[in-house]
Amino acid sequence: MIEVRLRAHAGQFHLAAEVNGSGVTCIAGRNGAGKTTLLRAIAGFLRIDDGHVLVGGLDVARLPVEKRGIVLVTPGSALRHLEVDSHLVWGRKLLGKQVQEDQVSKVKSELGIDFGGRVGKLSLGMRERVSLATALLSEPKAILVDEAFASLHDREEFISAYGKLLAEAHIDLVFSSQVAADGKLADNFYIIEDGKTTAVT
Amino acid sequence: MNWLRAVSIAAVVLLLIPIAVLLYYGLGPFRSPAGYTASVFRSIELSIVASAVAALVDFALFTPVAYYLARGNDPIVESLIDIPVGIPHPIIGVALLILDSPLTPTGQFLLLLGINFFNTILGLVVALVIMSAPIYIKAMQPYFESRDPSPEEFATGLGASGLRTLVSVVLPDSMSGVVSASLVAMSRALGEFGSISIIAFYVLQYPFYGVSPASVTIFQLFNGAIPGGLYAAVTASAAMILVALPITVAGHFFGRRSR
Repeated sequence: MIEVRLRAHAGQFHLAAEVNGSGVTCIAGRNGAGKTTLLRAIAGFLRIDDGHVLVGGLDVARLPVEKRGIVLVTPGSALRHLEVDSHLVWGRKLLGKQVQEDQVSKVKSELGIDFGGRVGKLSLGMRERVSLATALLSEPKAILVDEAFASLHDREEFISAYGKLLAEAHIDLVFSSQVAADGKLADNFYIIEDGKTTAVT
Repeated sequence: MNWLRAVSIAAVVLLLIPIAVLLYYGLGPFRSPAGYTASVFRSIELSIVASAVAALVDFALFTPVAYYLARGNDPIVESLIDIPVGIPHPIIGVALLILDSPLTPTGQFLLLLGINFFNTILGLVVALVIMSAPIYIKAMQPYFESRDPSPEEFATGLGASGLRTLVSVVLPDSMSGVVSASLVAMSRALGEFGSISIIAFYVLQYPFYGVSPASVTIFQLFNGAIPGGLYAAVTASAAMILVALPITVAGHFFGRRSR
């Protein structure tokens, strides 16, 4: 369960957002509507002026990024110097969690990671798959995805497979999209316009 | 005709004329065997070793500073770094002398620990670190700034601290930048004279007992330490340039190499 109600500003841009829900949440809006700013505020890269960011009932709004249990994934997230297999478990190992090989291979097959090699040499879509799988395997409380589904050839299937894996691990997902039709892929759907969110039911 | 290019090349030529003239006379008409004796080469060796060690210390101590400045916003630390560069270099030599003098409590304390800067390799390296670290930071900081921060933010979200992110995410992917900045810092250290002429005019330690740094040796030759010293100084200077040039060039080569 993720419950966000916050005000923040980046330069002249003002954000006044409310996002609640568990499972998969989609935030759709045009360029400049505030999608990235909102996700960065939730993740902790943008300081909020007031409000709260509850993840699993705990307010993380005053915690530093690394203590929030929220991972922001963007198209540029991949750690390019790593091999695919060590990338996938990088976050998990960082937290000192045990790596279960069967879980890793399940995630790899569900998310279409049938390739290896150095991450920096992969295509953009492949790097996005690896980053998203890495975030999932580290089992944070929530994953925020900023446009990182955009370069996947099987986007819709990927989002539903990813959503299913996240649900099994009790991880909330918030993803941004420029396509309003993506709302149907999510459990909760918000439109953002000029920094203000509106729930779509 | 590209005038911007023409003007730029002309300006750079102006910058390099003295060095070209020195190389010409040092290797040609003024060439003197006293300029490439074993002791001159020993001096150059000392300078290279001490400068390389200084560059390694720059890497170990000041890479985090450069990263911190690139990713944070700390104008105070940023301007503090410029202080050693902004004051006359001999003052740094005097400052180190006072810091480590038996006449001051700090010096008494350091000497108690066996730390002595005066005419030691340690003092030479410390002075070179102070003079080259700002250059190292100024070379590393824009390199870090030009990196896409997304992987670092991803790692932070996964739970990595700032230092962990630097060591495990940024550095493995920044080796060309590190090598380039270290070589630039090393060539800066090779060129240092003011501070080391005070704190380490010569060093009194194995394996460089009685050896002066190259810039000091050249200054001594120029000052007439031996008859015909000017010619020897010019020749030794040319030798020094020939040694330092590849290091500078290599620094730029690594800096330009795309990641």
